[in-house]
Amino acid sequence: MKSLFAWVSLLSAQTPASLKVNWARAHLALILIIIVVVGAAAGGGTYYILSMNRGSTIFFYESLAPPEVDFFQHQLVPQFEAANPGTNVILVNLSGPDDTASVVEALVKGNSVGPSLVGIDNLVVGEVIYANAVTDLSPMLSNIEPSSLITSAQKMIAYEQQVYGGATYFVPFRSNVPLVWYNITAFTRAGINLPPANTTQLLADAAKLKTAGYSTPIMFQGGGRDASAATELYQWMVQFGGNPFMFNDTGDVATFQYLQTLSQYFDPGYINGYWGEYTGLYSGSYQLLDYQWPYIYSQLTNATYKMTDKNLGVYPGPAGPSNSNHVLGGDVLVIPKGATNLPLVEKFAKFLLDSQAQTETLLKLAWVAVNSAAYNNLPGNFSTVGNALLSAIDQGVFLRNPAPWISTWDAQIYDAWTQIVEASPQPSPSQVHTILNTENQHLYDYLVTNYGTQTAQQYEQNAFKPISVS
Amino acid sequence: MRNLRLRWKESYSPILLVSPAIVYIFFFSIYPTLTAIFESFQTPLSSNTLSNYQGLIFFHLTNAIENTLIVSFGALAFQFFLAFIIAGLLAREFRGRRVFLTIVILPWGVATIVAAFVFSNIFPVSPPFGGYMNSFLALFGLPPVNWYSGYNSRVLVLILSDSWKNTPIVALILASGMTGISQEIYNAAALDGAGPIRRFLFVTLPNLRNFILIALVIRGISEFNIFAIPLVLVEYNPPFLTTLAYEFYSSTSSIYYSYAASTVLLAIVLVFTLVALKLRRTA
Amino acid sequence: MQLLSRAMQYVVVAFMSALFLYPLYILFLISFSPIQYTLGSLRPLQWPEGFTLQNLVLALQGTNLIDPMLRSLLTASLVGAIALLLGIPAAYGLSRLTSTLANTISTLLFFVNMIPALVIAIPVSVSFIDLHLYNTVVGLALAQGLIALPFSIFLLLGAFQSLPKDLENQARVDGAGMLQTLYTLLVPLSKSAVAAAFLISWMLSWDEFTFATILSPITPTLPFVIYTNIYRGNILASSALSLVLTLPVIILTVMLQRYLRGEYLSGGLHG
Repeated sequence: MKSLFAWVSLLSAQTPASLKVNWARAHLALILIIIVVVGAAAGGGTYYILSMNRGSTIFFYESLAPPEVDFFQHQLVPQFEAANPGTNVILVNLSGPDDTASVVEALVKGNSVGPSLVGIDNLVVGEVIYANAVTDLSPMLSNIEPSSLITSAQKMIAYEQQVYGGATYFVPFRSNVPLVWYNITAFTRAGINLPPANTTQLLADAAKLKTAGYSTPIMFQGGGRDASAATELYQWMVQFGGNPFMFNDTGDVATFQYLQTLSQYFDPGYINGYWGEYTGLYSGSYQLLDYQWPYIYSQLTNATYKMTDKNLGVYPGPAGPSNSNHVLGGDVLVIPKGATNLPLVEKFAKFLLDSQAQTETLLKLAWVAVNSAAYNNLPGNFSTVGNALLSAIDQGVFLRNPAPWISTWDAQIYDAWTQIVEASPQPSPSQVHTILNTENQHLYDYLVTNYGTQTAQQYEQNAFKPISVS
Repeated sequence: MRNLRLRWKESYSPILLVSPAIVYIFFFSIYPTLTAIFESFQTPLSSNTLSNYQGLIFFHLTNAIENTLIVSFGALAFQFFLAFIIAGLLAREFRGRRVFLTIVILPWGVATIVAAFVFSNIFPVSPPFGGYMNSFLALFGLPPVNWYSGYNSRVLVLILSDSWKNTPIVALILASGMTGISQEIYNAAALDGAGPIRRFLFVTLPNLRNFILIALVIRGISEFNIFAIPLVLVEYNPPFLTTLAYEFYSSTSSIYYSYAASTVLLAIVLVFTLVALKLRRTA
Repeated sequence: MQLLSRAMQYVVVAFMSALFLYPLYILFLISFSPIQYTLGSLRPLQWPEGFTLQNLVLALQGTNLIDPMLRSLLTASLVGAIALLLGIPAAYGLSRLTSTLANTISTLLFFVNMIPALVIAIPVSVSFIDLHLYNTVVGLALAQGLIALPFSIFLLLGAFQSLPKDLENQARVDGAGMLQTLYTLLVPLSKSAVAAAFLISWMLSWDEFTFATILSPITPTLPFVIYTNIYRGNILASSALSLVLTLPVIILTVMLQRYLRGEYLSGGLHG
C-alpha cells in the first residue's frame, strides 16, 4: 500500500542534485533573510513607537471613497487636532458598509473597542443594533446634536426613538442622495435639450440616443456587490409606488416590467454596475448614468478625466409614475458598546456635526449636511452637483428601513433582478410575477426560521416599509 | 537500562518533534473546520436543522456547485494543455532554456489579486468592448467582443485569468516527470514508426501517470477554492461556492449560510481527492 | 528537417514566453503610461507611448501605502518564522519515524492543505475575536502559517533525506542527541533549503488574500488594499499597489527558482 508519503518521497528522491548545498546561494539567501527580518523588525519597532506616542487617541471608523479619505485626513482631522492639542484622530477606512457592521460587532465581542466612534451606513445600522453592539446615546445626545437639524435627520431620530422604545442608538452624520449623470454633448447631438423628466421620457430619450448612434446609452447599478443593485432598485420601486420589502405588490411588479423594457438600452457592463462605476461617462461607453453618489463629481472633474460642467450633466433624475422621492443614503454615527474616553469621543462627534465641518463636507464632498446651519451663507457659485442635490432633497427623500435582516433582502432582490432583467431571454410578465411571489415567500420563511414567527407576520402585514422623512 | 532509555528516545522523540506542528494544525485547521460543519446546521433560533442548506438552494446553490465544477475542470484542462507543451519544451536542451524556465515560473509568484487586477484590464467589465484583449484583436482587424455578455464568455474569461497564474505549477510537476522518462524509450518508439502523437499517447502519458495525478490533485483542490478572480471579475454572477460563502458572511443572522456553503465546498474537495487517490491506487 | 523542427521549437518557446509575460507587461504599461493611452481609452495601446510617473504620484496621494506594507512585511516574516519553527523539527521527526506513522502524518498534512481557506477563516474569525487575535499580525500569521507549513515540511524533508545517512549516524555515535544533531549538523548542511523554506513561506503570506480579507479587515495587508481600490474604482492606486506587491516576488521567484518544484508547491493550495 503506497500512500501519499510514498509519492512525496518518490518525488524527493529525484531532487538531491538540486538540494546540494550551494554555498554562494546559501549566503545570498541568508543575507536576504536578514534584510527581510531586520526590515520587518525596524518597521515593527517604528510602528510600536508611533503607537506609544499617541497620547489621547480616538479611532474613527468609516467606509469612505478615496477622495473623501484624502479630505478627511488632510483637512478635517487636522482641524480637530489643532483645536484640541495632544489629541490624535486615526481614521480607519473600512472596505464597505457590510464590513463596518461586522467590524463593530467584532470589536464589541472581543472587548477591544477602545476610544472609538463609528460612521456606519444607515442601511446596516439595524444589524449592529440588533446584535446589541452599540451604546444608547440618549444621555449624551445634548452634547453631540447640533441645535438645528434638517427635517430628514429630525425624522430619522424620531423614528428610531419610536422603534427602539425611546433609545437613541445613532445620530445622522452625513447624507447622500443618488443622482443621475449624463453626457451633455451626446444629448445635444441626439437632439435632447433637457434630461428626461419622467420614466416615459427616459424611454423616449434612450431611443433617440440609440438612433443618434449611441447604441448602449444607459448605465444601471446592476451589480451584486455592496448592495448596489438592491439600493438602486429600492428607489425605483418606491417611485413606482411599491413597498420594496414585499417584492410582489403592484408597484414592485410594475417596476420590474418597466426595467425589462428599459434594459434594451443598457450598457452591457450594467450587470456589474456599482458605486465605483463612472469612467464610462468619460470614455463614452454610455451617456446616462443612473444613478450614482455625488462623490463621482470630484472624480470626473479631476486632473485625470478633466470633465467640466459643459459636458457633464447632473440632476435628480426622472420622476417615477408615483413620486420622485429619493433614497437618503449616507452614514450615521454610533458609539460601540464599551468605548473608552467618552468625553473625547463625544467631542469629536460634536465637531463632525458642527456647522463648520458640515459646511466644508457639503462644499468639498457634496455630502448633504444634516446640520441645517451648514446651509447658511453658502457661496454664490455653489457647485452644479450641490444644486442638483438640494433640488433632489426638495422633491422628497425617504430612508430604507434598517431592518436587521436587510442583507438577506439585498441578496434576494439581487436574485430577482438577475432572474428577471439580466436573464436572457427575459421571463414573461406572468413568470415575473411568479418569481417575485417566490421571493416574498422565501423572505417570510427566512424570518420564521431566523427571527421568529412574530417578525415574519409583521413582515407579511407590511409593517416594514420605507420611512418617509420629508 | 541505558539501552532501553535510548530505545525509548529513539522511538518517541521523533513524535515529540512532530507534535508541535500537529497541535498547531489541530487548533487552527481541524477544530475550526469541525466548527464550521457543526454551525452549518444551526440558526439563531434552532439547532440541527437543514434550513441553511434549503436557504442556499434558494440562492442557487446548485448553480454555484455547477459553476465551481465547470470553471475548475475547464481551467484544469487548459492548464494541462499548456503545461504539456511547456514541459515538453523543458525536457529538451536548447539555448535559452533557463531563461524560458524563469519566464514560465514568474506568474506563480504573482499574487492572485494582482492577476485578477491585470486581467480585469485585459478583459474589462467596463467599457464593455474595450480593454487590452479587444485592442489586441483590433490589431488584426478583428471585431471587439463583450466578454461579459453571456455565461460562456464569462466562464472563458475566468478560466483564462485563472490559468495564467496556475499553469506554472502543473508545468513544473510534469517537467520533473518527463526528465525521468529515458530517451531510449522514445528512440525505440520512433524506430517502431510511432509519430509524435502516438509517442505522446503511448509513451509520455503512461509514464507520467503519477505526476499527472499529483498535479491534478494539487491544482484541482485549489481550483475549487477559486475566490479572488471571480470576486474581482464577475462579483456574484455567476455564483461560486466561495463567493456565495463570502456574500453571506458579514451579517450576523446570515453567517450560517456561509458555514453551509463552505461545508458543501469542503465536501466537494474531499470527494474529488478521494476519487483521485482511488484512481492512483487502482492504477 | 532537423532544422525545421528546431525553428518550430523556438517559435513555440517565443510564443509561450510572450503569453506568460504579457500580463506583467500590461501591469507596467498601466503603471507608467499616460492614462489616455491606457485606462482612459476604449482601445488601450499595446506598446508604451510616453513615460510618466504621474500615475504613481496621483495614485499614492489618497492611499496609505506605508501601513499596509509594514503590515504585510511583518505578517510575512512571522509566517516564515512559524514555518521554520514548526517545520524543521517536524520534517526531521518525519524522516525518523516508521513509515506507517510518517504516512499517517503526511496524509494529515496533505488534508490540512485541502481544507478551503474560507472554511477555516470564518469560524477562526469568530474565535480570534475572543482570543484578542482578530485583526492582529500574530493572528493573521497563525492562520497563513497553515498554508506555508505543509509546504515547508515537505521541502525540508526532501533536504534532510538527501543528506548522506552516514553523517548523521556518525554524529549519533559520537554521542550527539537528536536535537543537537538536527540543529548543529543537519540544519547548517541544509542551509539553502532552510532559507528557501523561509522565503517561499514569506512569499505565500505576502500574496495571501482570503485569510487576510476575513481576519484582518481593519488594518489590512496589501492584497486586501488592492482589492478595495479595485472595487472603489481607484484603478491607478490598484496598479501602483500591485506593482509594489509584485516587484519583490519577481526577484524572489527568480532567485528561488530551483526550489519551486511541484512536490513542494502543493503547500500553496489556498492561493
